[in-house]
Amino acid sequence: MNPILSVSNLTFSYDGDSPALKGISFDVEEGSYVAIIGHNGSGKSTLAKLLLGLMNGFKGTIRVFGTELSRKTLYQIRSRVGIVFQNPDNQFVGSTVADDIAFGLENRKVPHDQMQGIIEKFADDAGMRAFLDHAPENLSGGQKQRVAIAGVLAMHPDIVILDEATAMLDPKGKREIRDLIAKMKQENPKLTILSITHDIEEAANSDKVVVLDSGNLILQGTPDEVFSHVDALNAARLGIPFVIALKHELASRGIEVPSSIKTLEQMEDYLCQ
Amino acid sequence: MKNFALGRYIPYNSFIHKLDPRVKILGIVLLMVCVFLNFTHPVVNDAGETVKATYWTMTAIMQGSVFVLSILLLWISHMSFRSVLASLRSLWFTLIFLLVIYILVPTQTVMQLGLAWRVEAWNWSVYWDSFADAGKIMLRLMNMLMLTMVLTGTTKPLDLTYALEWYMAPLKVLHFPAAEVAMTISIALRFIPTLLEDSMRIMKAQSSRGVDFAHGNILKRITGVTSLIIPLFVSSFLRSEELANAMECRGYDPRAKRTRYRLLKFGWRDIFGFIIPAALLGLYIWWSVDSSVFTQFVLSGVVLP
Amino acid sequence: MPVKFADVSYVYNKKSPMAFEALKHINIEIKEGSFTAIVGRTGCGKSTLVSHINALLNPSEGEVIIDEFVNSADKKKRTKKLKDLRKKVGLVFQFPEYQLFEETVEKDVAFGPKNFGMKEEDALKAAHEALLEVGLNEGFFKRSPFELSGGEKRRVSIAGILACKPNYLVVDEPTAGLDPLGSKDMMDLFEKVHQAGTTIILVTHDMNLVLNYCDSVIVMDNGEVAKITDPISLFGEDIEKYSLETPLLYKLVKDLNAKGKDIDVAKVKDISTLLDQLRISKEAK
Repeated sequence: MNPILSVSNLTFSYDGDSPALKGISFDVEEGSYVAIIGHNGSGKSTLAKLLLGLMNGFKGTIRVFGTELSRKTLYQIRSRVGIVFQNPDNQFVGSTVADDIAFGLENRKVPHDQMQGIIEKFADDAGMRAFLDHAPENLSGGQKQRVAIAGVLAMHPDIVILDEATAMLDPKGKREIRDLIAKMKQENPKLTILSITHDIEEAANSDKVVVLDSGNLILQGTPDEVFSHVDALNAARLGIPFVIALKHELASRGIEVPSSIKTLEQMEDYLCQ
Repeated sequence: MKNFALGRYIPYNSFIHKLDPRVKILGIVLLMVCVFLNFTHPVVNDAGETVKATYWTMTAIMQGSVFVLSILLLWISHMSFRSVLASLRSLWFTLIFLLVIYILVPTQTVMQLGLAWRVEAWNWSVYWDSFADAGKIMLRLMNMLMLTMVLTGTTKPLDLTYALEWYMAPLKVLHFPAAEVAMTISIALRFIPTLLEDSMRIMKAQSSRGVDFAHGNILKRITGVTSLIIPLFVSSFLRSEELANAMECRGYDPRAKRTRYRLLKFGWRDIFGFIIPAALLGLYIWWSVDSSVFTQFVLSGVVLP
Repeated sequence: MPVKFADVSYVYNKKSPMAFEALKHINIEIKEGSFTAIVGRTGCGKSTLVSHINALLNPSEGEVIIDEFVNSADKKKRTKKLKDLRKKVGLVFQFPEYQLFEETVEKDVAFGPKNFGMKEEDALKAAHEALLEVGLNEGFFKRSPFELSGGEKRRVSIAGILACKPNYLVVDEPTAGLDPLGSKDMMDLFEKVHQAGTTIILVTHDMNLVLNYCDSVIVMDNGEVAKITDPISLFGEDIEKYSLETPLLYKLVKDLNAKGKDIDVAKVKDISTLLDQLRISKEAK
């Protein structure tokens, strides 16, 4: 299977000497959910900006569906990759929810008579249909992020990058976004999600985890593989997901939990046996 | 800040709200011209004598009609008069200021309303015309404010921007970036509440650090304002940078042609929005040009000689 | 002396059609020397509540008593010397790094102490102490605050409050946007400040912080105090109705108990103690 996104030997530096990313290579399979974790300043957000072609002057290659990212292919690649940023306010362009979802469509030159239908459909999917005429200042952070996701999905991307999309939200907002992402994955299993996050629990439920530390890619693999490297993770100032930590503690007491047990619910059933 | 009605959109579904913003802008501009038209006709009757008070009566009729019309427009558009009054309240100071200026430096060369009182000791006369002058300017200011309120209160900022872009369209021939200017304005409007919120937050934070924005000497106040302005700039820059990234990622290219979600439509009601102000302006210009009108007014007793 | 709220109500935009009652008859006492959490969903009145403690807001009804200071709905009763109150109660807002404005770190930290009447050199001395306390060494003193990383900026702004030597420190979501270890460092800092005798009032959504640092919790809901309790008892209850998330450890305990286990919540501190408890309950059966 060909990877939908392939990063190889990516190096980037803001000021010329100390690189923010040092020779990063990883592949992302179509339809997978990949979590990129690392502490602040590890190079996660730099990576996101590079994938969208927001900064020039990197070494190495970024390929989306086999097309190499360059100045020429920039708009072609951006049409396949959507991104949701951290700050809900700073990505709300329109003066109302409808206008904001329309913004991307206008850029794509979608004809006027098709817009209303598209806007209503995607607002509906994001649970924001009732808020089409609302101005951003009257929405919660979680609602604004739902609008941002609707705006991205309305452009039918193949890859959605979530750049700490829930970091500034309260627990309710976080849950709303988590549920929305789960729903959109369910409706479109071919959608690839690249989530840049601090949330170790989110990473535990992904298909693949990529760990960055000071610009280096130190670990990549399934959550079980990655989170077995406790020392490396501690060195990278990262924690261990709860269920995996529980498994480790059980293992230290001589109980090997089968690898099929991944979620808290499965763990509860196992412990009750 | 919250009860400041000027420039705030009041969502409602009135006749005026439904007008095409392009027509609204044109209509309001025409009415503004009416407000600024000055009655300059020589006030002389057939016998060659100066007709007293005609100037003031005509001015009162002209400004007064716009005033009545503005109130009518505000009423049709369901604007709350209380908020209008709140915006006008700050004009009291202006009124007193104008009055003092006009009393000290009368603008009229020929006083028509007569002497109000005379201070013999200083050899100084105060004419009623000074009061009328101040009143005229006040009426004009109020008319302008109310007309602006009708426009901004009934038109979404974004629609206003689109209308302005439409008017700027001919300038595209001269490579004027009308669409980009309109986008810039609409984003600025979108971020006003966000920046207001930012400034409230920073003010609270600095107050907690002992800044007193309301009291203290000039130096302390300058430090206080600096402690507000600099963080506000920093956060605005950060916001604009992130916004630019977000817009770029969503495919915005300022040079490329875009389609439109909101289209402006000219409907049957828009004819009124144009006809009424245009007719009023036409009437005023006619009055100013054709002197026979005054004779008619004088004869019918509207303008008392 | 405690911070005492006596029947405090607060209405935003009073006498307007947009009037909104954010606090409804609040009666609470925050004990001196405690590490108290104030939790609840967004818009429940937490921020409005803490803004009363240093008189950024005045109550619409009732009064707040902070040591010898009174913040009352009655203008005549209110303490006039706000500066003394604000020196005593430090308030660290959410994303405090947005309040930095001076050209050097030390000047910015000294800004508060100077406003509260300290002399230039004393203020600088207090600034240096506070900076060392938050873990920023001499190398940072003369740097511009705007060239620091996000986490360092936040430390500078917190030092700016600590330098005023407050007796009460209110912190609003101090870990927002920080990575897990950054959050831990930040909270350990507040724990240190708490150990040194400062009363800490933490406004947060993060129940893990409540669990690991606080000794008492005030749950707010819709402008009212819904509950005053301690963290572990709180996690034994159904707190989802307040939009709070039970830490996974306690969620597991609760679910296991629902499935027939008999675990004493009070004895569970971490994964290891949970497993100990599980074994005991297994033997008991």
